[in-house]
Amino acid sequence: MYTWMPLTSRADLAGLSKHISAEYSPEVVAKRLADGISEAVKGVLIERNYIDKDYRSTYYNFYAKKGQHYRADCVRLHFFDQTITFDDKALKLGCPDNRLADHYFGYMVLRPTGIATIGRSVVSPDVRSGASRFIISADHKVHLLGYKLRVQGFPSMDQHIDIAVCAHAACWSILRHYSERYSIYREFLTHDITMMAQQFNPGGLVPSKGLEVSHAERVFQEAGTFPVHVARGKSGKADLSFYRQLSAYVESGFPLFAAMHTRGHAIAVVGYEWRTPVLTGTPGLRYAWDEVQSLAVVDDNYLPYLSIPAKAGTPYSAEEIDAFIVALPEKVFYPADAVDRLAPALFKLGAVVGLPPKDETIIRYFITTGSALRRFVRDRESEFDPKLLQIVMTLPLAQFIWVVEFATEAEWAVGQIAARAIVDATASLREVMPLWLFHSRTQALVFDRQTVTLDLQTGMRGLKISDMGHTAFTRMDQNLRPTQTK
Amino acid sequence: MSDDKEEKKGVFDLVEGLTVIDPNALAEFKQEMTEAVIPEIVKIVEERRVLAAESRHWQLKC
Repeated sequence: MYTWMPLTSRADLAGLSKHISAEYSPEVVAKRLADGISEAVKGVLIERNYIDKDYRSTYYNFYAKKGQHYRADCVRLHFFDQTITFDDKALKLGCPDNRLADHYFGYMVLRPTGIATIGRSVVSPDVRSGASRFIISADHKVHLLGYKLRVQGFPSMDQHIDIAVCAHAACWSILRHYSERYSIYREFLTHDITMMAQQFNPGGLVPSKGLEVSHAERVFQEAGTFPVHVARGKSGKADLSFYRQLSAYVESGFPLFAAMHTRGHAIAVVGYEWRTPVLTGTPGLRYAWDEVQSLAVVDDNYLPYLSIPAKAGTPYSAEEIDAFIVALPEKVFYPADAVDRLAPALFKLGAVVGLPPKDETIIRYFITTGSALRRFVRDRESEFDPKLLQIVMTLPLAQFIWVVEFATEAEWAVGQIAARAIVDATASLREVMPLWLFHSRTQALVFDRQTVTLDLQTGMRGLKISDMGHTAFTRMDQNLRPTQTK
Repeated sequence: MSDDKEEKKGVFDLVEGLTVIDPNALAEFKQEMTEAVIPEIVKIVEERRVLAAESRHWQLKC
């Protein structure tokens, strides 16, 4: 039932076909793995007769009804580093430090469907060749041979083709991430997703005809999220606000369901990589999107964390994304479009707060929670004037906030910022001052959200900030996991 | 009782050293928000709504 397959190189993966029957399509799987995983994977444990809940959901509702006989069980491949040994008599995994989980890179389920056999998989981005620097991930528990392992990653699977297409797979990936990451969301199986897309059971092969974007929106609504659907403007690639929002949501830790209209394709955007900072000295207001080199996507035609260029120049780039759905929690009312327009307007307060010159600034905005902001400030107490810290801890923040950070090119290069605005994510579109706090190293503006909407003057106070002996604040990079390439 | 009073205090009462801001320093920002930013936000949000409605019927099946 268990076979250990040591790897001296990726070419050894071809040996999978000796151990796995043809219905799991081992040659195709071996090639996909050889093309995409790093040499750090030195051992594969093949687990047979694995009962996979996602495959079973499609088996009970589709494959079992077919004339062709399909197996009910799957094969699961587990990936380990060079320190792991396997005793096939005692069925025991061993490693010198007895910390198995530290040497585990995740798993891949193979479905007995002959075609498109790669099922539920969670593979660490650390062993994905070319993976981007920052990836949205969650802890996934894995039970194997009585060991409790864990892997940090983002779920992926190939589309089934006959009963589920790319859009179903992208929805599934995002919702499985949500159920693992956030306790308020339940788990949805592959078949659940196909049912949630329609108002009624479409039956047969209707799902294979494809989904409309509205169906994906419906899936996220049914799952209890509050999806926001953003489409690119008629100006196409020149709609930079569209891409700034896209990157803002990803930086916030929300994976995106992204539609590529011309390809008729859907993917999940799950991470990004900034380009290497270069001091250009070129004047002009810039945004975090301008610094993005590539996006990490989960595309069911590839292994997860495929890195696609942010800008055009290759056949497959982020510029082909022309709509996305972000499955937000409730209570995010102030849209990214509003933040995108508000942020540059805050320079009108620049003289009061002490902002860098507008045409030397890089703006970055994202959503987080009030508690995450407080945790970030608490962890860096020494950066903050005690009174500013008191304000952050005292303000009656809503659960979700937009954070707008302002950095010079030099600060950006070292992960620092000059100023930070905290915007109320529950604010109304027509509010003149939707802020809780706006501060630099020298000055802060504090807002009483009870009164500031009625009277700007009485709802706002200033605070002169003491010199804390540093030249800038730390940028708030909190939501994504940095990839540790192995 | 004292806890109730504490709860009724706003952030301005709890933090010492806060100062009133000169209204003239805010005038330019207020004017920018009222005359340019908010009308633009309202327009952009409506435009995005229309674009989203048009894109809802795109077929995704690759």
